[in-house]
Amino acid sequence: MTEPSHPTAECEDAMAQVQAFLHNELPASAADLIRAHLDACDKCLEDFDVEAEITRLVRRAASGTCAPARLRMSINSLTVRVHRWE
Amino acid sequence: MSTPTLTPEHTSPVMSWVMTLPGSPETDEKPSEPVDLATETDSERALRFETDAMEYLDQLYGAALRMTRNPADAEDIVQETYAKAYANFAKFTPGTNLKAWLYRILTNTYINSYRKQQRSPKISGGQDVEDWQLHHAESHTSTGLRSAEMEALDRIPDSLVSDALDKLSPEFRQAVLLADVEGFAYKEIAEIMETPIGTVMSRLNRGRSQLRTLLAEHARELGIGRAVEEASDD
Repeated sequence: MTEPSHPTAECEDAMAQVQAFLHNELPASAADLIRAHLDACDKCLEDFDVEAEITRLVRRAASGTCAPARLRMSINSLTVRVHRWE
Repeated sequence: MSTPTLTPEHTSPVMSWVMTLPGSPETDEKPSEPVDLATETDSERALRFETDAMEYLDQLYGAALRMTRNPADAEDIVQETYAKAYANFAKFTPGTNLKAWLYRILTNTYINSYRKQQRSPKISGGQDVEDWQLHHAESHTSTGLRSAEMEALDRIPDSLVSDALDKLSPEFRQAVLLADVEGFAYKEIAEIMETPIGTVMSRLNRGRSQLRTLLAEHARELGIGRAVEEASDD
């Protein structure tokens, strides 16, 4: 499957667009070209999988923070005054 | 966006993951009741603010915490963000992306009132060559590393991922977080960060590339750690 001369120019091109591909930011035609390349190139597919895994790790590590109750109350009080006068 | 055309035998995580990607934040927005800004009373606007803006508080606080790395400072900039947002809420166009609007105010608040004071030296990206090029060249010469890397990546604890994120320059880190955690489209990130879309892409590529290098180091240490453990068990 993978050419011995790997990475090819096509591989470099695919890798340059890995983030845009994973974020669904590529036009359909460009995304199709990448899919076709990943079908044919195991090493690039593996690389893309590592990138997708890193996205999952980042998402996991950065989620689940809760704002302190004090902050919530203090922001809620921004609008309370208005209600009182109505 | 086009529907990915996939062959059935595709079992790659990338492919299965791409299929489950959420839509852009814009399409996730709930259809809101039409608001007549001209006749809306202060009380109605206050209620709308509570209903619509408060739901992003936890996310904004999390983002502020990652910007400032300090709970007290994070509280301050979120408080200021909401005060500004509330004061300007009549200028927000209902039906457009409120989350992006709030993130833009948060980013401005952070840059203007916090980072200027702090005057922390900007952590340089360190490399002039495009990092992904370096990385790609490296990764292809060390065949076999990446399967192990992938396996070890799974075992990296969240705290190490956060540490690695903290090592990125603020601009790279924010681009990565806005895209990967908040799921903003590049166009929205460009508006939030007030940069051209090309700069967003470059920050994302370089930030992610540096992150991969940092995480691969940890993964390799974990892998080596386990190999040593296993060897001593024999």
